[in-house]
Parts: sequence; structure tokens; C-alpha cells
Amino acid sequence: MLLHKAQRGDLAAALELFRAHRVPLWRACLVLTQHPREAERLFEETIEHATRELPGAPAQRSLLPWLARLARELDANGAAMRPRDPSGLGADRPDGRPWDETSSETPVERHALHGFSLLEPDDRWLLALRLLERLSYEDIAQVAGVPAERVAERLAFARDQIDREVDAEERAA
Amino acid sequence: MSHLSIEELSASLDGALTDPDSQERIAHLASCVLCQEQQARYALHDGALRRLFQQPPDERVLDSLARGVIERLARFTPPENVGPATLAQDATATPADPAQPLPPAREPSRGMLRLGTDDPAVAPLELAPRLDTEHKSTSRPEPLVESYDAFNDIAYAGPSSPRLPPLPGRAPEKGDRREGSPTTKKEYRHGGVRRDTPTPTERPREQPDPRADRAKAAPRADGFGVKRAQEPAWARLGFQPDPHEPGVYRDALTGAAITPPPVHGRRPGATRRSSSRRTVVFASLALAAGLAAVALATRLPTGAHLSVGFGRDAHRAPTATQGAIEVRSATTPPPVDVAVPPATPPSAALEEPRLCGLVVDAKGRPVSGALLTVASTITQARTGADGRFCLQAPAGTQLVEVLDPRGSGTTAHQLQLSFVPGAPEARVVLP
Repeated sequence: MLLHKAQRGDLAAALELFRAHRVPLWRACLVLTQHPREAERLFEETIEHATRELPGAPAQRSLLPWLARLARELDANGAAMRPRDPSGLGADRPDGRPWDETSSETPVERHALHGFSLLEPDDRWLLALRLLERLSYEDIAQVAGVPAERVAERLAFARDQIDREVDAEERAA
Repeated sequence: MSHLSIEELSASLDGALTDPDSQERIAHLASCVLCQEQQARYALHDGALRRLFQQPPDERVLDSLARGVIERLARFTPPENVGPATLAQDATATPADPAQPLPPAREPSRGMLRLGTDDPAVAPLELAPRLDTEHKSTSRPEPLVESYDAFNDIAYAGPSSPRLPPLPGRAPEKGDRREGSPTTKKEYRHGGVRRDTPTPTERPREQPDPRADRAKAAPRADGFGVKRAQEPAWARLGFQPDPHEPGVYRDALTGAAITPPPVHGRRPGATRRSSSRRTVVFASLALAAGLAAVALATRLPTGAHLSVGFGRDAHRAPTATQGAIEVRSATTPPPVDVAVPPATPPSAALEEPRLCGLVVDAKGRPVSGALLTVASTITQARTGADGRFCLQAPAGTQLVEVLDPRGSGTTAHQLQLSFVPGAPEARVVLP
């Protein structure tokens, strides 16, 4: 098994293990940090810590929940010491390019992204796990370490906040 | 019937409104236009966010990021007993024999507190197989050996302690005492009781330092994660305390042991000297240096002094009465010619030569993502999409290690590059 090899110090196996989850992990980092540069830094930190902590990784079929939780913990630790870029995800597109007149995104997408960027990091993280990784409530509860009822409550709150933000921007426009 | 709440609308959108009590709510949703409109808005926003985040970044960038981190970690030389031996104290080590019974479940750590362990909704479960399309070769699902508690314990909770974590949402009270802690209350003559701070000699050696609790995490009030103001130094450096040898820390990756010096220990060879005596010595030296500086600045000859008149002589200017004071104008050159070297820009003196070049493969195509490392200074540079790089290193011939990103990503080549100012562009050909 690839995980056993990686836990015994096989770096090539570790690389293959992380390669399988790099895109979802990148999405989680981007959602947490709201900026491509910060997401790269968090991605590097997560991989570095994951390589160090690999011997203690749970023997599951997928390392993605473990990596996502590790990224959330690292972001929570570094958030207090790291100045936030005011022009974050809401001001730019998810890939870091600024909005322009030729953007193909609809106003609803822009407003939804802006409302999403105003959420708390935990709410953004939970909503991304649900929408992007399509985890069930029970899986999200397992990853986040909270009851499933709490997950349902936070997801509903996040959706309502985004809806309020989109509604306010549509009225202003 | 009242409309659905936002929790019910959200759960219905996710297909989680399946309990028998919610049949009425589902029936109401099927007939209520307002609830359907609100749910449609939620679905519209969900779809917009999905579309925006569906575009993944360039995979080569992600690969190079991860490979750079792993290559940095690979510089550690693991000892022969690395691997499961370092996990002896951890239950996450997967048994070699699949038929071997799994270890018993551990108590959840504070970072993963579960409210109500009897609730099947929060019991440990296996993730849906749709998450890992990469590992779908096994017909029988892999056993869930351990939840994330073990990871959380190792990474953040610090050394293993027999003491159980406090209950969620309950701050430790003053009356809470550990078992076997010495009595720290003394009685006065009048019958009052004061609490005395125990001296270090009164505390048993086996009992952990209560200050170590500061490094441990406490659950957040909202139930999401734990509070982590600052990790302990050993955790930031990637070490773990050895539970079997107090005071010994081991590298999490290699298992190598280090013993940090005592916190209050004195430097070797330092002599005992009182701070007041040291202050007097330093003050005397500073005073002597100041007097010497004043004498040099005024260039007063030995024996000369100034006399200043008071009263009727106050209108006179001070004059020298003894010795000879040479008065010079501002334009008089100094008696000693000091050769001052011409000022040079500091950047030019300190800047190391910069060497740019191109990394290509055997067919002459540029190789992007190759990592070049100067062995002496560990300065690194990565080639761009056009295969170009720029490195700075001390002048002279330097040993440069090139990590080939192709294939497994762990093939390294070594070559000598000459770092001189104005050097031509280097061309590195990878086999």
C-alpha cells in the first residue's frame, strides 16, 4: 500500500500520495486564504507538515480529509500573525486575475463570490467541502470534528448570508 | 402551515431532509411557491460557486510546489530504525497482518471532541468511495484503524499525558486538583488559610509541570476546532517529546534525538560575578573612553586651560593663559591627512554574481520546474515555463544540484557552474 511505503520514509510514495489530492487540497487552501499567493504558501505548509506527520496519518482510503483538516489547522494558526490582503477573493477571480469587462462570469457569480468571501473561514471551509468536494453532512462532521447537526446549521447560515449579500448587491445595482 | 426555515431549506437542497418527521415539510415545499423560490436562489448561488471554483490551477505549479517541499525535507538522513519504530507509542500504526485485531479506540482529543459519542451521526465512519478514485483497486474496504484524533494528538496536543482532557465547555475550576498533588494550604494562627505557592522541591519529579498546559489547546466556544495561540517550540521545530525519556525530543521524521540545554542553565565557563561589579567596570571603561574622545576632539595640548572672567571682566572673551592654543579657521586643513577611500555603493560591494541560464533536455526543449540548488549556500531557483533560471552565489566555481522534475521527480544531477560577474548565459542539458 502506498501509505505504508510513505510511512516508512519512501518519499516517492509520499509524492504520489499527495499528487492524488493536490487539486482538492489547492481548492481548500484557496477557500481558506482567499488569495492565490496565500493559498500557495498554505499548500506548501500543508504538504510539508503532512510529510512530517505522515507516520501518524490515519490508515484510511483517502488522505484528503486528513489533509484538509491539516490545512484548516495551519491556516487557523497563521491567521492571527498574517496580515490579510484586503483585495482578496471577493475582489479578484478565484484564479487571481482581476475582474474585467471581458469576464465571462455573470453578475450572480460575482455577487455570490463576494458574499462567500465575507463568510467566516470555518463557514467557507464547510461550504466548500459540501459544494466542491460533495461530502455528505456526516463526512463533513467527521472531518471538522463537530456534530452533523452543527454542520447543517452552519451550512444554512452560510447560504443565507450569501443570499442576503447577493440580494443587497442586486438592489444596489 | 408555516414556511420552511433556512436550515430545512438548506438540508432539503443537500438531500439531508430525510427523517420521518420532515415528511410534512417536504410536502409543504412541493406546494409552496415562496419556499421553492428561496430554495432556487440557494441552488443558484451554489451552482455559481461551483462553476467559479471548478477551474483547477496549473498542475505543474502544484507539482513543483509539493516537490520542492518534499525535496527540502529529503535532506534529512533518516536512521535505520525510522518508520514504525517511531510509532510504537501511537495506535495509528497499521498492523502488518490484516487479520490482527485492531487496537481499541482511544479517547477523543480536545481538538476532536464529539458531543455525545453514542450518536451514530458522529460515530467514526468511512468516507464515501467517490472521494478516492485513485485507490479503487481493493475490493474489500480498508479498515478504519483510527480517526483523526491520533493525528491531532501528535501534531498539537503535546506529550502524552495520563490526564484526561477537561469536559467541553467547562473551564478548569480553582478547586480542581490533580491526584497526588501536595497540599499547598497552610493555616495561620488565627485560623485563616492561605494558599502557598509550592516550591520546585515540593513538587514530585514525576508530576508534569502545570505550565505545560499552556501549550495545550482548548476547545473554541463555537465548537469549531481549538484555540491555538502559539505552538510550543518543539512543535514548531518538528520535534516530539519522547514519552519514555523525559527531556529528550525526537525528530518527527527521522527519529533522531536531541537534548536541549536546561532553560535556566549557565553558559559553560561563565564565572560567577556580581552584576554591580560588572556595572562599575563597564561604567569606568565608558567614562575613560569618553574623556579620551573629548581630548582628541578639542586637541588641547597638555597643561593648557581656559580662564573665564566674572564681574567686571565678564565682557572679555575667554582667553588662554597657559600653553598655546592654535586657533584655526574653518577652512584650515587638518594637520594629519587622512586617506579616505572613495565611496562605493554598498550594493556593488556585497552583491554576489548572478548567473542566468537555460535548462533543456536532450532534444533541446526547455525543462520547466527544474530545481537548481547551490550546494554551499542552499540558494535555490526554479526554472520557468521557458526553462530559464537565475541564481546568485559567491564568486567562483560552485557545485549546483539540479533536480529533474520529469519522471519520479527525485532524480538529481550535479554540475559545476562558474559564478563571475558578467558571465555568459549557462546552458544545462539534462539527459
